[in-house]
Amino acid sequence: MKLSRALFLLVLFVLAAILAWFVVQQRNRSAIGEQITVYYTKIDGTTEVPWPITMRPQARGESASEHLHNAALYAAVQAVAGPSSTIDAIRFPTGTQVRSVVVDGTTAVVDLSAAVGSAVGGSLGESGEFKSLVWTLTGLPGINAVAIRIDGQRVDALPGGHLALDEPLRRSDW
Amino acid sequence: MSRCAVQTGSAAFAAALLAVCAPSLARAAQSHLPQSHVAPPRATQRRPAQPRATQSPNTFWFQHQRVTFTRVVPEKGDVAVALHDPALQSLLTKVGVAVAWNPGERYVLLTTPEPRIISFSIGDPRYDLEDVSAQAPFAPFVRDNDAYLPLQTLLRALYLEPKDDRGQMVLQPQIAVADIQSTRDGSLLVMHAALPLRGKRMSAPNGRVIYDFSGFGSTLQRARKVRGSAISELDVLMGGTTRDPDTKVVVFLAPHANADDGKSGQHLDFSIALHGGPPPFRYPAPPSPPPPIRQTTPAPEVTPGEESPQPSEPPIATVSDVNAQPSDGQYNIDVTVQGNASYEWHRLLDDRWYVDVHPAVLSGGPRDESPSSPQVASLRVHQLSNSTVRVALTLAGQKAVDVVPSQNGLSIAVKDTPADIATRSGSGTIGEAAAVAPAPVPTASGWQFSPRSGSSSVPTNPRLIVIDPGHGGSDTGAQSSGLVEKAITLDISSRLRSILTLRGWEVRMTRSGDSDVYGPGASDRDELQARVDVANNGGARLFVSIHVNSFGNSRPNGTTTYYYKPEDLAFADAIHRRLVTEDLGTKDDGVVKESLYVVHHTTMPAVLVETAFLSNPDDRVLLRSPDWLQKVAHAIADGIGDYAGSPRRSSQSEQR
Repeated sequence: MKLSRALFLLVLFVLAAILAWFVVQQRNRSAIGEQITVYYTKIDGTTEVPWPITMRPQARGESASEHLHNAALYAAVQAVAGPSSTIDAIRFPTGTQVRSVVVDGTTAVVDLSAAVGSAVGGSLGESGEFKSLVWTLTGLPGINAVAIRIDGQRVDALPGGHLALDEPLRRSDW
Repeated sequence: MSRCAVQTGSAAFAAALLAVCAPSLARAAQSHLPQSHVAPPRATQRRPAQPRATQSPNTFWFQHQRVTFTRVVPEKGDVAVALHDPALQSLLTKVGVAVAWNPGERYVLLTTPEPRIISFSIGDPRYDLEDVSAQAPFAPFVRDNDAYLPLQTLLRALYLEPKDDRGQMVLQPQIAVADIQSTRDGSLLVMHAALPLRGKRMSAPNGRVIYDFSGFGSTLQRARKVRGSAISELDVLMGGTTRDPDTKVVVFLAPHANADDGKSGQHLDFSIALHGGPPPFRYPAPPSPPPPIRQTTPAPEVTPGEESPQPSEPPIATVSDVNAQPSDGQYNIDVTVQGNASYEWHRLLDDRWYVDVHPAVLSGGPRDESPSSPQVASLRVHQLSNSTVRVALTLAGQKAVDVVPSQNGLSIAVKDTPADIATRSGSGTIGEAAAVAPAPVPTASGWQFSPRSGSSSVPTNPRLIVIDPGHGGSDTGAQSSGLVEKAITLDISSRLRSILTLRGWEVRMTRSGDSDVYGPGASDRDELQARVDVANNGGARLFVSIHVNSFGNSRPNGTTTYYYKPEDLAFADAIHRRLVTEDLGTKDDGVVKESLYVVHHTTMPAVLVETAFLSNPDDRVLLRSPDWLQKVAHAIADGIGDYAGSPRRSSQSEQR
């Protein structure tokens, strides 16, 4: 009798453990939904306009960290490309490409092509470009800062630029 | 929303907004749909019948050149092409498409110049064109660290239609999107294609205007009634041959409307402005704004007797001699300066060191010597600009350099002791000015400045205000219509210096001529940090950076004051309030928090003022006006006064 009761408790424990693991997996899987929000900056330089983008849900065999990495790349490419050209928005200079995105802890390290420094402008454009990128990436769960690289190199500022890029950018920088 | 759907912008525009859109997205998802409205190729009719050439399914003709994809794998009804296939890479470069994918990543993201994102997902046959999902014949896969994509699906998504031309496949660029947007006085027809789109306006009989696009086919639907102001109908006629297609877009104008010649944009677009037609309802016009600048401007604050609002330049000093000699384990350089001047020294990261004397001219010729000294490798004296003399040293390693004003000018001593590399710049005055404005007490290691970094904003020199004229030297800043940002910022800064000096402040400029602050060829960081160093190392009370804004189009205008540290908001508010209330005539773009390098890294209250927009024609008129530049300088000086009071009061409060 005692043995069967112990067996019953053991089975119950195993079932509870499996259930807990399943719940944790589901929670991780649903950390980023099928829709993410990309932002663009209006030409007033301050208004961020949310822009929902559809992406694939977490795939079978794709870990939560891989999914976050993929989502971050997806979001960064969208933010750098900007909305349709018919929309008045502050845009990254033509030719700016996202070379890679690496999520390091809670910081997304975004490597941009050198074209990002090709536009000689004022604070308005430079600020608006990076603001939209930072708002987009920090909207993903687990990311709260964005570090910028250009052609793989750490930079402190853009050529002839104004913005401090020597430290990761956060929403609170605006 | 898809570009190929009715665009809904603001409510005012929505009613008049219509997209005449190709079934291009659907076509991209389906395969080999015949183009029913393509005219029979003329060349085929003229030429004698030829045997159908056999050609590899991986070879296409594109703009009369053969394109052969070599890294391909046959897949269901299509071929899979490797992302790093040389022909594909070349094609993507031609059509201006950027690719984001690295091994291990799930998404292959292609960005067109429009911009449009084409998103493939490894292992998933669905792909996305913006937010429209479609189905490819097979799922992209990874092999040998390369992503393989369905070739024909990819080509169609890029608006390159594979077409059979007597057994040979041709990639025909398509005009795939036509949007009609409402504008203030009509409509704007915007078309997008696979390649930069150039159109030619042809005859316009009976209220029609025809635009010819040579080299392009089209996936646009034919005749469509449209509901745009100034336009009633749009038709698309296709001709030419498969290899040399020709598309004509016919715009049927509304009565009394007209159309311009159209222009190519940078997003693979061609825009036609349509004006006139039935007058749309307009709200009553707002009252016209006051003229930006009154003809009778208030008298600027200048010394009595001066007629010009231009800042008064002090008499220029003369650097008459530079005497260098070794002495007791150090190398002494005595710079003889006749007259009043200021000096600024900077230590560069590579053992170079220089001091600029301003305003000053060099009597005699420049010098360039290599003294046999264990402390100094080279000595150079030259006229840097019209009013700046530079004495530049290349040190033999990390040597300490002391610089102090002397009876005759400036004494520089290069010592064998290690340099305090944290202190990279300093400044002071020479001659009578040094006696009028007492400088900090020199110490054995040179001037004693505040720490280079730290959050403390207690100034060691509470009378000192550092003005930073944005850009300079090799960095012109923004330019437009003959105006150059670096010149304007220096002009305003010089005026501000004059006003503040007259009000009793000690003023230091990060640059007083058209020069880089750190030095030519410096990194962007070094250039900005050098400006920060002037303020931080000088123990300044306040820091003001002057800039002129610019943007990619001419619409934005106005004045913005930027700050970063929360405690600097009051300073920014004080400056901005004056800028927008002293009748400057610019739009108030507000006080904005922003992590700009010079206001982020300075340790005292700091602002960066973007005075106006070089890219805006109305603001450019102001930026050309000396009266307006003087007003800006006055407004900033008044804002400084509102925030910090007078220098005497400021000094007393600091001492308390």
